[in-house]
Amino acid sequence: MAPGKHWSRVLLLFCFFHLALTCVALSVGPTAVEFNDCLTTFVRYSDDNVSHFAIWHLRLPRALVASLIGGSLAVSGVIMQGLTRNPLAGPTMMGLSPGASLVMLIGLIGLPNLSMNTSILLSFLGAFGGYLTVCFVAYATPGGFTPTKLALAGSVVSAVVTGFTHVTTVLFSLHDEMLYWTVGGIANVSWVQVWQILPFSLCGLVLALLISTGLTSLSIGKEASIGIGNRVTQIRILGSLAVLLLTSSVVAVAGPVAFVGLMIPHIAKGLVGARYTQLILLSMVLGASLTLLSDMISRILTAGEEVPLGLMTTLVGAPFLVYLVLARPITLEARP
Amino acid sequence: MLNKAPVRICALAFSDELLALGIKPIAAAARNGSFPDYLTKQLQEATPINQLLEIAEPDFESLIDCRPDLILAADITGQTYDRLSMIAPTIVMSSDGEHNRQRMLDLGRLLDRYTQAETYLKEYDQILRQARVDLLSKIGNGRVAFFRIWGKQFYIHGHSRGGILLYDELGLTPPSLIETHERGYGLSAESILQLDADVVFVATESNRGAEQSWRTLLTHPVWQRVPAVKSGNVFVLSEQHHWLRQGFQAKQLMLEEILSALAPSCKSLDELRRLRNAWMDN
Repeated sequence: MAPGKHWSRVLLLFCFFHLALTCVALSVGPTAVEFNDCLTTFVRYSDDNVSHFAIWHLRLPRALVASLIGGSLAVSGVIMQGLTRNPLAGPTMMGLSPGASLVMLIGLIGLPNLSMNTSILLSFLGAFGGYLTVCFVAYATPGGFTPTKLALAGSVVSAVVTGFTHVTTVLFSLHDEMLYWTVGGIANVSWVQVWQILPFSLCGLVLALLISTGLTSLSIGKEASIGIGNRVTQIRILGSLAVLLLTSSVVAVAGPVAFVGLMIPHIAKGLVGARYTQLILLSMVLGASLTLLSDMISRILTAGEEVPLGLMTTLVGAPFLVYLVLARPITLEARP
Repeated sequence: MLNKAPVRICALAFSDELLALGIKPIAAAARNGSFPDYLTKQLQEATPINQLLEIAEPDFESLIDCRPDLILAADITGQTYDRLSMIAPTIVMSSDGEHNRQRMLDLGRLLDRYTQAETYLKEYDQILRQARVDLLSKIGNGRVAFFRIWGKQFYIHGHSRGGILLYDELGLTPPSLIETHERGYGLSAESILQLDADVVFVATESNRGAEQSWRTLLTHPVWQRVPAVKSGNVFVLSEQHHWLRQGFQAKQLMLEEILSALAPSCKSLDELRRLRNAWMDN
C-alpha cells in the first residue's frame, strides 16, 4: 500500500488506538479501579467514591495533558521540519525549549510569585527569542540559508543559551529551581493545567492546518512553492507563530519533553507520505499516543513512584534518533 | 591519638554536636556560604567552608586559610581524606542517624568532654521518655507524616532524617505507605490519595521552585482529601534543616515543634524549654 493512499483509515485506526490507550490510562494506577468505575464516573459521579475521584480529578486531566503535550510537540515538529526542510528540526534544536527555560528562570529571579499565565507568557517570549536567534544565525551566514547551516546554528544557539542558563543557575544559586523546571513531569497536574494548555494547542493546530497546503509546496522547495503561487514569507511567519503557540504552553507546564517533536513526524511520514494536512493530523494523534503511553509507563515502572515524563520520552527517543541516522541516510544539503 | 587538645577545629560535619558540647569550631561546612539555618547564630564567628554540591568535597583553599589543628569529616572519599590529612589531623566518622548517641560520646571522649556528653544524653533521654508519654496520650495511634517538598517532588520520610525521631525515638505511628517503603516514599498526586496521615508536618525547601509546588498542591483537589488536611492538623515548618539532621540540637528543636503542635500544654514541653535555655547559657 502506497503511503498516503488510505490515510483516513490510518488516521481512524490510530484514533481508536488512542481512545483504547486512554481507557487503559484511566484504569491503571495505585487506586483500585474496576472497568465499571470508568463508566459510572461519567454518568453517576460521586465525590465520596475514591475510584471516581481518582479517575475524574487525577487520571483524566493527566491523560488529557499528556495527549495535548504530545500532540502539540509532534505538530510543532512537523511544521519546523517542513519550514526548514531539515529532518532533525525540533523544539530543542530550533532553540525553543532552551530559550523558554532561560527566560522562565530569569522570570523566577525577578518575580518570586510567578503565576502560571506569566510563566506561559515568559515561555512564549523565550521560545520566540531562541527561535529568532537560530533563524537569524542560519540566514546571516555567508552563502545563504541551507538546512545544514540551520542544524549547526540550532546546535550552537541551543548550547550558548543552555550555557547562559547554567551560568544564571550558578550565579544565583538556583539549582533547586532548575530542578523544578528542567525535569519534564506532569505528575501533579489537574484540570487547571488542561485549560491552560488547551487554547494554545487548539489555536496552534488550526493555524497549522490553515497553512498545511502551503507547507506541502514549501517542503518541495522554495522555488517550486513560489512557482505555484504560495506566499513563502507569510507561510513562514504563520508557521513560526503556530510552533510558538504549540511549544510555549507545553514547556511552561511540563518542562522540556524531549524527542516527541523530532521522532513522530518521521513515523507519520512513513505512514501517510508528505502531504502536510494528513501529516499534521496523524502526527497529532501519534504524538498524543506516544506521550500518553510514556506517561503510563512512567507511572507503573516503579511501584507507586514515578519516572519523569521527559526522561521516559528520552529513553524511547534517543535510540530512535540513532536508528534514524543509521537506517535512513539524512540529506541536510539544500535541494536544487 | 591527638598529641594535644585541639583548639582550632574545622567541622566539615558534626557542628551541631560540637556546639552541643560547648565547642565553637573556627570553620564549618556551608552551602553557598550559608550554615544550616538553625545553627547560623551560633556559628556567626566561624568561617564557612563551601562543599561542592554537598558531596563532601570542601573548598580546600578556604580550609588552609583557617589553619585548623583538627578536621572532622563524614562520608568522604579516600582521596579527599589524603588531601585533608595534609592540612591537619583528620577524623572521619559515620553520619548515619542510628549511631548518633555513640558519635556524641566518641566526640566527647576525643575532645575531653566525655562527662558533658554523658550528661547531655541523659537529660535528652529523660525528656524524650516524658515526651513519648505525653504524645501517646494526646494522639494515640494517629498516623504522623513528615512531608517534604523539593523541586516538583513530594516525599514522606520513613525511618530516615526527621522520621528517626518521630517513629524510632518517639514511637509515633507512620503513614501506612511507610510499611512497604521503610526509608521513605516519593508521592505522586494519586498516591497522596493513599496518604492516611492524621497529622502532617510540611517542610518546603526554601527556594521558589519548591514554593511553587507547595502552592500548586494547596489548590489541588487531592490535598483536601488527606485526613490531616480535613481535620486542620497540617503544620508548616518555617525552617527545615533541623528536621534533616541527626544532631541533638536539631532533635531538641524538632521535639519542641512537635510538642508545641500536638501537646502544647504538656509538662515535657516546659521541661524541654527550661533545659534548652540552660544548655544555651552554658
